[in-house]
This record gives sequence, C-alpha cells and structure tokens, in this order.
Amino acid sequence: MARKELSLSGTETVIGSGVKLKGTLNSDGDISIDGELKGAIRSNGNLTIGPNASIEGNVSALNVHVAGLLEGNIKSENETSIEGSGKVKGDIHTALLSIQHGAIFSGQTVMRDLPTSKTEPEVDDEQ
Amino acid sequence: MYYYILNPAAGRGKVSQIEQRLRDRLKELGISGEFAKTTGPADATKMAYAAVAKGANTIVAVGGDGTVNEVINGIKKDNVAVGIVPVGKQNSLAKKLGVYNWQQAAELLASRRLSSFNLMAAGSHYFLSDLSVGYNAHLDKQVDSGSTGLKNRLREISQTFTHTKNFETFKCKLTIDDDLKLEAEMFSLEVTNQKFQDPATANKLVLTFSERPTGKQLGSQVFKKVWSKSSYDQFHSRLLANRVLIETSPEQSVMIDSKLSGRTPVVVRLTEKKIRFVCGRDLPAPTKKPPAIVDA
Repeated sequence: MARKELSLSGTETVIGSGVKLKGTLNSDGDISIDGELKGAIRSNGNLTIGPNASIEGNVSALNVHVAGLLEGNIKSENETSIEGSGKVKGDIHTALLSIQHGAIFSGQTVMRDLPTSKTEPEVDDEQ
Repeated sequence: MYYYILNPAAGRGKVSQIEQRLRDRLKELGISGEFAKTTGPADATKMAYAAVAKGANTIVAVGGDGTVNEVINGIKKDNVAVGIVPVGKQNSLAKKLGVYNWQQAAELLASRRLSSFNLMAAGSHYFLSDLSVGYNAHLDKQVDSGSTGLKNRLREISQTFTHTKNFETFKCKLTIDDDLKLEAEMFSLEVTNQKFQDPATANKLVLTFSERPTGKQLGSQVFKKVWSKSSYDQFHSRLLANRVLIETSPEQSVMIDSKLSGRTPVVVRLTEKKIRFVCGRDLPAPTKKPPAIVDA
C-alpha cells in the first residue's frame, strides 16, 4: 500500500514514517508525526498525527488532528478532528470536535468552552 | 586591532596570489592590522588564541572552511569579532554568512556588520554551521570536489554517481536532551543551529534526517551536488534540541563545517559560547566578476 505523505511546510517538528520514538516529545510549535511513539506529546501549536503514525501515550496541543492510530488521551485547547482513517482509543478533552465517517473512536468526550480571545478596540482611521 | 591569519595552503595556494592586493585594499579601507601565516594544522587556533590575549578585537581568517573552524576554536572571549576572507576550495561557511570573494570581504570588514551566533560543540570541538553524518560526510570522503578543468569535473561526476548508487543507509539512535530516544534507518543526518539558518529564530539545534530517497530524488541531488556544490538537503524528519547523542551502526564518518572530524558515536550540544561574525547576509550577492580594484 502506498504511504500517504505528511505536509511538512512551516512545521517545527516533523517525524517521518519509519521513525521510532520513546519518551516525551515537546515543542513550542507545530508537530507532525507519521512514525511510532511510546510516551507523550506536548505542543503549544498544532499536532498532526499522520496516517502511518502509531502513538501510545497522551497528547496535548492547541489543535489535534488524527489520521492514524492513537492509544491515549487527547487534550486540546481548541479543536480535535479525527479523519476517516483515524483510530482513537482514549478520552478527548476539547472545545470543538469533528469525527469523519469511517473513523474509530472509543472513549469519552469532555467538551469545554472555547478560550475567549481578546478583541482589540476598533480604531477609526478617518480621524 | 585587526589580526589577519593567512593559510598559505588554502585554495591550492590562492592566498599568495592575492596577498599583496588584499593588504593594499585593507590599508586603503583603514583596517590594516597584523598579519600572520599558518605553517600547519591547528596553527590558526593557537594564533587566534594568542592574538586575542594580546588585545586583538577582530580576528580574520584568510583561507577556507578549515581555517575558519580553527580560528573559532581559538577564541575564548565573547567580545571578539571574526571575519572571513574566503580563498578556500569551497568556502561554504563564508557563503552562508554572505561573504563571496576577497574584495567584498574587505568591504564588509570595513563596514563591520556583525551577527552573533552561539557555537555548537561536538565533544570539545566548537563549530559554527553544521555537522553531517551519512551520505554527505561519506560523499566528501569519496569524491575529490572543487576541481577545475573538464577532465577533473567528469571524474567528479562519475565518482558522485558511483558513490550515490552504492551508499547504504545506516541504523541510527539519537538520545535527545536526555529525555527522548529515537531510532531510524537513515540515509543522511544533519545538525545545525536554527539561528544560523534563520536569524529571526532562537539559538537551538535543528536535527534533520532522511530515509533513502527515490531514484528521481537522488538524480536531482547528484545534479545539484555536481553543479551547485550543495549538500543533500532533502529531509523527512526534523526536531529541535539542545543536546543530542548520535550512535550509528555501522560507525559513520562525521563531517563538521565541511571537514571530516572523526566518527560516531558523537555528542553534539548547543553551547553558551557566542561569536560575532562579520556578515554580508541580507545584502545583495555581488556579481560573479567583482569590479577590478584599482590601486591608488
């Protein structure tokens, strides 16, 4: 079966298929992973779990996108999405959740409010 | 005070061809200083150390990547600036800093545009730009690059193709920041400083590595290597770190700043040691043929 490729542009941490990791993967930026990991992932940006990925451990990020296998809990500040090829065995704490047709999800969801964004006061340029 | 360290062996003796014109130009620009010539390996390290101890605040390496590498290993103080007058075979460090030829280098030294970078270290050896394991390091050992003349270029192309076709991937284990262990079959592994690639970012090690590329990717890479002298730059994984232990099976050559420097295993770390480099980055690259400098 042909491997699907991850999009790499603009991502701080990229783990390709065929790579095995053990431990905690931390990043201040975005993470894309298409390999195997036993441990945990913590990102202050977006986390993409690619179609060839297999993760055993909890993950937390701003947004979490799952197209591969995840056995662990998800904690996301904003949105969690599971693609049709995605399998999640664990609980999801998130503000927004989307699960595509064909995805497998086994666990509980805890929905929370979206973080409030600070709005800038409008400035009248005409003055 | 400017202190110029000339490596007469760099660039197949090119230093002696330009030395007088360089001295004259530096004098015109008001940055003439003390000149010294190396006589063997590691001389530039000792000379840079001694010059700083005597009070030199700008050390200029007149040579290739090896000379620059030796100079930065001799500087123990933070407030010293390093300049490069590129006269080596490849001058990849100088090019990465935006320094392309001796004439432009002299102008940059006079304008003193400085950028500060944390050095990396492999063991006790400090370096500025990159450390390679795998294809790039092995290629450098197998292929006599930097040659001129059609016959030599054809030989270089033939060697590059043969090497690329025969190069085997290797098993690699990385221990990142003592916390994360990684295993992968690799074709090429590079370690560099994120800030060196992009001055807007923080100093941090960037590890990039690739699995065996497809035939098409390799063909394209061989073309780039032969014609533009660029290293293999495709990657499929990328991580940031402060420290990494690199272990391979079988052992692999390690190339630091374009110079072969031992074998794996190796520990690479980002150090607190900062050096200010005279840079031409963000300036337009000079035309291939710089304007002739007329003696006053």
